[in-house]
Amino acid sequence: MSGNGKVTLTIDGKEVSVPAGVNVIEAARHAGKLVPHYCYHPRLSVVGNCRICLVEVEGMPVPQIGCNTWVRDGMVVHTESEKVLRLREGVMEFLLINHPLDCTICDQAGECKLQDYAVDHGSGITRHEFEKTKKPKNVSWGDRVVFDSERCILCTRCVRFLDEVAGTDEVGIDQRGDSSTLIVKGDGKLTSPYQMNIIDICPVGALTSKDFRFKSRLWFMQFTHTICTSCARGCNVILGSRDNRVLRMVPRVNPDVNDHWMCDFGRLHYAFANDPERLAAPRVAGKGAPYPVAVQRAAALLEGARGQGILAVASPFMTNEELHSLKGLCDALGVEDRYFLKPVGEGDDLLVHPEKCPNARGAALLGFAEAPADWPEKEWGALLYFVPREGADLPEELLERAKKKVVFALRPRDADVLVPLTTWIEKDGTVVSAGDRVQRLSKGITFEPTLLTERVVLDRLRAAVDAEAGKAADTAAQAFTRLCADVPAFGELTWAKVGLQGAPLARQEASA
Amino acid sequence: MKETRVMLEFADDPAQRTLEGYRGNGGYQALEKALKEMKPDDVTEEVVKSGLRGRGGAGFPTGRKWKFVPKGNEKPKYIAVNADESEPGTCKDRVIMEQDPHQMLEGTLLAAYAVGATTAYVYIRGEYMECIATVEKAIEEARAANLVGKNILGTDFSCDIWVHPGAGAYICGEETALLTSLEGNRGYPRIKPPFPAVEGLWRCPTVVNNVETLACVTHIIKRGGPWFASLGCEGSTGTRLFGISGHVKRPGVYELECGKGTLREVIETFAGGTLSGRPIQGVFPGGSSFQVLKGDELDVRFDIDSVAKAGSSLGSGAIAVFDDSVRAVDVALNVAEFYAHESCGQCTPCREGADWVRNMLQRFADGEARKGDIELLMDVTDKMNGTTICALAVAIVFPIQSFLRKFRPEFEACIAKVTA
Repeated sequence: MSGNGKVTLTIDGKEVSVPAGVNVIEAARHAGKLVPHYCYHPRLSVVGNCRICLVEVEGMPVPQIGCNTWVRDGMVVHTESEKVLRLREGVMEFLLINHPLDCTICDQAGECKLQDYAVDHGSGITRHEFEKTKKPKNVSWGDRVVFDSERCILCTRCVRFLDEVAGTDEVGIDQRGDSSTLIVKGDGKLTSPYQMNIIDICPVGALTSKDFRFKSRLWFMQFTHTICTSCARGCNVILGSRDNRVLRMVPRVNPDVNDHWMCDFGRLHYAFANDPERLAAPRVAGKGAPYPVAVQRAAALLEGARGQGILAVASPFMTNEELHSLKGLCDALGVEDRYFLKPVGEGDDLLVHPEKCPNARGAALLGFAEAPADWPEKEWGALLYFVPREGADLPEELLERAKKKVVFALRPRDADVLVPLTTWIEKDGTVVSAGDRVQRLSKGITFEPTLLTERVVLDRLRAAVDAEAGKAADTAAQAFTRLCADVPAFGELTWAKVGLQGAPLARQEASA
Repeated sequence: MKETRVMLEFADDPAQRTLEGYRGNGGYQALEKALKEMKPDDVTEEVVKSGLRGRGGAGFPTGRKWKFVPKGNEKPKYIAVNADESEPGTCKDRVIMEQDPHQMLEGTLLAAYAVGATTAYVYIRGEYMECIATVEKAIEEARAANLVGKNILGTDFSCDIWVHPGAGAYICGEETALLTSLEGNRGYPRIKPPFPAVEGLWRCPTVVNNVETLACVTHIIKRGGPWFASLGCEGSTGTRLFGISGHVKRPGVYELECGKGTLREVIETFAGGTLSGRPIQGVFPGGSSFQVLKGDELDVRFDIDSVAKAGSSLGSGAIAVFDDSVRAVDVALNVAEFYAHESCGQCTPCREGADWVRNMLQRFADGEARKGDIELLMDVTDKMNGTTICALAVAIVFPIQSFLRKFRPEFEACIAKVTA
């Protein structure tokens, strides 16, 4: 070992230093080389069945599979020798002789490793002149996954994921040889709440999503790197949209948060963003109104209520920047009662967090208290209320105790001034996820071009009630910089440090 | 040339199947000697001295295999007796199990003592109903006589033996697939490393030995490694059971000292040559997964190294003979059909390639092969060669490529004449 837990080896003539204990596929990544692989997955056990990662290792009599060859000091590996390329072409040919080649109707097209490696290593013609094997197609594996055995290359990633990560061990292999096919044990329906991850890790089009099937070709879609907001975990995701409608979410790798996975609930929970019943413009006294009118009216109501007390109820679905703006407004208005509602539910051992919102931590850090079970016996001149996206709401009785109501909501409801909320995929911002990790949301779609984000509305409200208010932040990044300067827990963080992978808060008494 | 009966010395005596009969002929003396007079390492050393090589087909030196078992490892250790005899033509382990099962059990206990194993499993081919019954009965008898179980013969050594019948898959004779199957999983071979001696059954050190190998161990400990090494020839010591089958007058299992003659002499002397009297067209000297030898290539000395030098292998000692009444093309197809049927389907080249090879050979057999098919077959089998987890793909490559090389005119004759 060359020290520091590093091993030095030569890959395709280039000397690289890699962490001890990695395999040749991972070592090759360090050397900027992709060793093609199907069955190997960094988070699953190594089975070595696809055989496309064969490489030559000097001193070994026959080619070795990169996935099960562990680096040693002084090892000399060839990933692109004539022999390796010939065998790779051979494996590609074997994989394709019984494959239906139905890319034109396959959802995987565009993100298919068979397509990718066929372009890189395939021969372009077939030498196989026999009837292809016939296997089950369009097999429903329950509510979420569809299986096509003819497209399957039997890499067993799905088998291993369900056994080793999800812990349900519910898929196995039936038959043998080229009749081998995957089956779901028992009644043939998957049960795991994480089952859709097998669609992501399936390197080919054998497993497709019932939710996303046939909705769009990938190359017509836009992709946004953001996070899931269904619980406090904040799983990193890539959100796919088309024509400003959310079509799917898939996990984005982040070893500190969700690794390679996400739960099915979070993945499938986006319909509210596309909801046609959503509020698309503010309303004043039940009637549609432009933003300036709504802001003016809301400012007047809040100003007027100063003497009688104002109840501010934030939402844990708001970003830190929005909460910071709300805090500024509350300070300007002298609001004493500052709360937020926190939806809770069941969690599990893998990813699902019992807090069913992305930013309860941020709300607490910005000075909002978790709503009490018993509200104080008092009345308020006005209520400034951000309705949680789901999972919690103020009791009717409490709403009646406020004389005037300024409400931010997704859907129409009763209020003196009603302002539309935007969903997480319509704005940039940050939240504080479980483990006190600051993570970034990114704008991916525009639901309605005239919608303003909550931060902009709040800053305008602030300007309307506070002559001392300085110029509002132009961007979420700017707002975050101001927040960091203002709230010590955010300390040395910057927008860039948070990046797309997130960063821990300065405060270390992390709550799980 | 004549037989040298060591393992089969008492095989014809029905009493030998019982513990009483076996003991009457000196049975379990080797075990007693080992447990009371030898240290475990002495047993291994004796086996090393004997020059014994595995009888399952690969011919790996048994003593060396035992030495791979790590010392000082706290995990339990296991012996897995490979009694899944399924290589086409092989039928010698069956004779041991049916007619003299205790010598295998005694060898198993000796191996367990040598490597420190406390449990042994005998993985018997599911079709071998009688073997399963006789071995199970033998274990019961031995257990009742304190030869299997706790504190064997009053010593500190304990070892239990269990029979585990297979379910009919050829692949389960591959040592890692055998272990996967023993664990209750689908019989898929596993990637090596780790090797079974280090991480085998339930990830514990496991020695996998063939039935005949363990039977030899009994005689080695009883009569000494040097005695065993004095039999046979250098590189192929002791006696071996050869199962001769195919187009011969007297098919059967014969116990011979290697190197005492040529393959042709073995076939002529013991099996009486071809039944039809027609010339031998070809022979598989060690099971169908190795290269075929043509009728004019049989004057090779029958020992592991000489047959290897001649481009084939003594394998599992299954000598399969075919005369010129069949077409070489059909024999090749028959072989390919077997392996295509038995491919477990795990590795891409074997799963997809095996049936492709079979289909192409069918086209030859039907006289409908295309020009270039021989080259295509060579290329496809080349890409299956050494590119899979286990040797099943190679068991297609070796014989088929040898057929294409050695019987090329026969294959060329099957290429369809273009008439258009």
